[in-house]
Amino acid sequence: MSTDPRQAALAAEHAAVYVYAALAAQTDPVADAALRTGLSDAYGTHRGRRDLLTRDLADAGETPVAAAPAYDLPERLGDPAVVRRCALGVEEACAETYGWLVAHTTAATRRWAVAALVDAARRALVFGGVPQDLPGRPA
Amino acid sequence: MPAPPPSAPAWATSRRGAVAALLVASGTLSACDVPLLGGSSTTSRRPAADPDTALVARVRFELAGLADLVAGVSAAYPDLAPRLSALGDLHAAHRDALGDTSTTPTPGATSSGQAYAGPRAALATLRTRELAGQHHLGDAAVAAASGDLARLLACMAAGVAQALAVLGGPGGAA
Repeated sequence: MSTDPRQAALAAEHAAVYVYAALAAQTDPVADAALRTGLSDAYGTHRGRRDLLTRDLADAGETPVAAAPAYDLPERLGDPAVVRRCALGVEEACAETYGWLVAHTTAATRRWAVAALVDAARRALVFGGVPQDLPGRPA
Repeated sequence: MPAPPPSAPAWATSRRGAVAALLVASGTLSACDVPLLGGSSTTSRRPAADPDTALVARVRFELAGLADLVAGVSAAYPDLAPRLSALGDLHAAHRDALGDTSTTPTPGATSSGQAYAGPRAALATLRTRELAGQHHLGDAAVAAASGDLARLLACMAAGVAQALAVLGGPGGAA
């Protein structure tokens, strides 16, 4: 098992990419256009982070953690409210993961984690989240 | 032993529990295990003088100035006060998180008497200062010697980002 803390972020991004792909695929691009756009944007962002983490870990001589074959999804994916709640959960979990990464890294990796945390916090609002004093801090 | 990473939410749990296992397993990391990436203060020996003292003082000073700016704009334009109250509460919560219990403006950080060309200009000034403050919090997080403090400062930056998004205009998404 690699001890690089970026592996935890990569595991979270694998899950996020999987979940967002499923959510976007089940969301009507016309009837729920704004939600679909938000999901597509989120998918692209998380996929980019997954690819960057994978590349950086490999460059560092690590074996990037692989994605699981599948991840649990909520039932009733056709319900926009369910989709929003699930997407909000993704962003809140990613914010917490990146907060953890901030605490366990330094320098450029920490700066990147700070940016990812801020992005996740902002994106949570798109899916119905409410502003918090300290997004990403463990409860 | 550092705090464990966030536990995987239900949606992120693979049917084989792979992600949950990964996250739990990575919680066994310690700073000593990751020499290339540095570590958390939670496992490092505390030096005689806290290397983050000056950094925390600077952040407190800037937060006090921002809180005073919010109060000044709200006083100058009472119609804006309801929109800005959450921002004032956020600064108070952040100062509290840093152990700053003072309630009076920091000398030299006050915006009292500052004139604005109108409420729009005042809001624009406030947004600009808040966005700069968000970036300074991010910089402070990177500079912090303590991993726990770094996380707190990063979470504060994220909180300001959310507040700006709700406030709207430049620096916010709304």
